Amino acid sequence: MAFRCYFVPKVGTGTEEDPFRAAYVDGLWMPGFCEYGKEPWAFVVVDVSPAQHSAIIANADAIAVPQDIDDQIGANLGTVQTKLEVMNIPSGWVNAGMTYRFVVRMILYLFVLMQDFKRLDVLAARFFASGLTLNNTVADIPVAVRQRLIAAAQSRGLDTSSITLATTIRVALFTLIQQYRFPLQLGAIPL
Amino acid sequence: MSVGSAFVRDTFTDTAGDDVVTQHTGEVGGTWAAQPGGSGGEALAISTPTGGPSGTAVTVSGTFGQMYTSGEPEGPNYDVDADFIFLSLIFAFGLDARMNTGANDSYRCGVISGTGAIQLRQVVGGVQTTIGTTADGYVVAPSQRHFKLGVRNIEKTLHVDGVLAIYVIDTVIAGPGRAGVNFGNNTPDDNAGTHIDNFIATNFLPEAPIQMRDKVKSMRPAAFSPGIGR
Repeated sequence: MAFRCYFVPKVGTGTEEDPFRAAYVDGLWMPGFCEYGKEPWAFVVVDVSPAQHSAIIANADAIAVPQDIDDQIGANLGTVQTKLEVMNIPSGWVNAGMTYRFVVRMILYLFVLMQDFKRLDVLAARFFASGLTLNNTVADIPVAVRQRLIAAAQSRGLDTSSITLATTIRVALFTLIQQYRFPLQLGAIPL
Repeated sequence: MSVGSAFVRDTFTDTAGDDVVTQHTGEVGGTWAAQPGGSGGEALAISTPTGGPSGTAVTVSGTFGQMYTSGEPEGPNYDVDADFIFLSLIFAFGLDARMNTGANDSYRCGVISGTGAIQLRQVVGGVQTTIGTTADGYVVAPSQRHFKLGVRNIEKTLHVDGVLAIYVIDTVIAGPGRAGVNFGNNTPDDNAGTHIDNFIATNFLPEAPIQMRDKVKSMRPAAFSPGIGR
């Protein structure tokens, strides 16, 4: 058995019997979890056998992080960027010299931002509702949603002053998450 | 980590059969009340499980829900601990932290009776998200386990018998709320079900900054001790 990291969809309906949860890992030890706010994705740390790992990645929408998260992205840059964009995670800042550990840490900062966004109105729709994409500008975000995003960022002391209505969502989100500095850990894995 | 002061302590030392809400008060912050979202008429009773300690609490048949304690934490960062006596895995029972007293919001851990896994959930307005879980079969009956649910800023942890089982990041419930328990249908039976004992909630006090001289001292243990390596 080994701890492996994955991005997986969330499934469930939120009830006691059918809670929202990470797909494909039922029955396994999942000591680490971080959801992308209300977006339908989560990052998980799971204790798996080789066969269990194979079963998880047999699902087209499960994304495995290499077992050695200190590997550099290298030649996988294009693949990594494509997979991030599928989850509405900006990817233009990722380069081949970065390690997976660094990239995951930055993504988890984004997940924390979106959890704070969720906390400010847990009944509201997810951020990327209404057809928003990373290429939209801040002006395209409904005013109440935009205000909540700014409030979420400022609740962590982030500087939002450089973000204007003309800023794309992908640039705005990266502008925010690159300001985070706190250490992260999930399961037994420091990030 | 430092150990802070307990704002709730309840050893459930009382007369068997007493209702925990109306006939019992714990040693510290030990008045119990139901959180919204349960079955209505939620009840816990003092019990004496077979082979277990004499003063414990057990849920009462036909009720499920959550109960919070009257003790108020100094802030949102604290631990909730208790012993669980599993005579049979036919009911859910677990710990809650950051409980909203007016709505069904909390970080909630408990044993899933059908699988024996312990899950940690984020519950907001009754909507539940599993944010960590042990493998199936982690808890078997009969057994006794100690759970510690920790809520620290963005980190939420669960220790079982002192071993870290779950360490997740979740920021969705930020307020201190209260500490308490959650439970599924159970029976007031000393030979079955899950019983809880020694409930304690403790404020988390961050460590004082380490002085450099203390750090040097602390880095000088075994490797420099006489006899090591000779």
